[in-house]
Amino acid sequence: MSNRPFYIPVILGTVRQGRASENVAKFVFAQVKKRNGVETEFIDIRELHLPNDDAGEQIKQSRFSEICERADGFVIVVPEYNHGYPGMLKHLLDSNLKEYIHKAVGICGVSAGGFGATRVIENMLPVMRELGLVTIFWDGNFSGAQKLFDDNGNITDEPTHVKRMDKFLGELIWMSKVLRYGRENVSI
Amino acid sequence: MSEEPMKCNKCGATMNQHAVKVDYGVEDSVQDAAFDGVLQEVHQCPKCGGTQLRIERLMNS
Repeated sequence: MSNRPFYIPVILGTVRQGRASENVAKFVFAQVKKRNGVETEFIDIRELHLPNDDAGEQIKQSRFSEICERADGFVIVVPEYNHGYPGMLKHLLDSNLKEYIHKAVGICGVSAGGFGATRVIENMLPVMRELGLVTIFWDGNFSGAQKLFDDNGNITDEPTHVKRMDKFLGELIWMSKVLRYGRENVSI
Repeated sequence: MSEEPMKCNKCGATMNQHAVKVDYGVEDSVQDAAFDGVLQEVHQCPKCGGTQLRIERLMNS
């Protein structure tokens, strides 16, 4: 298997002003950065300025496409809006295809309520599957998002969430390694 | 695999085909009636990590 560092970007999947997911995404990003042998990048879909007069691969942006092509896996931080995912996140994900195939993805759900965004995570799974991404069995569940961080953006129950993210990232990195080996060496 | 192994257009290495994916977004004369889309081979470069697609041309069709 090639010895390039593993690259797992973190995608913040909402453009909403005052988004609680931003703190979550920064926390998750910090956890990924701690992992040896893994490079990462913080992708804020607000900064991609996607056009809204077309969709699909017609709006593919070279920068995001290059990030996806280089990636071995993805972390998607997604808020639960009315039990679903933000339209802008779907708009972004639909702009690529070949860049995702046989790559790992882990989903971190963010909710105001107490169910850890499990509904949006479940809603994301069929989309991930059709894009060719391979989901893991660990999720990031961030309930009560508005109260989960202090005024400085620090998570209030750090030990619990660090422990959860450790399991989540362990599985995601393992899957990323296996899938890179498969993409490079196992022919269909 | 329907044809010769692909060469990476970035580094020239021989690529590995690891998937076939139906692409619904391509207008092509080889659109497969069984899948209502174009069958795209997905190739990965083991050297630089590049990804390329090639429309599958089935040997027996």
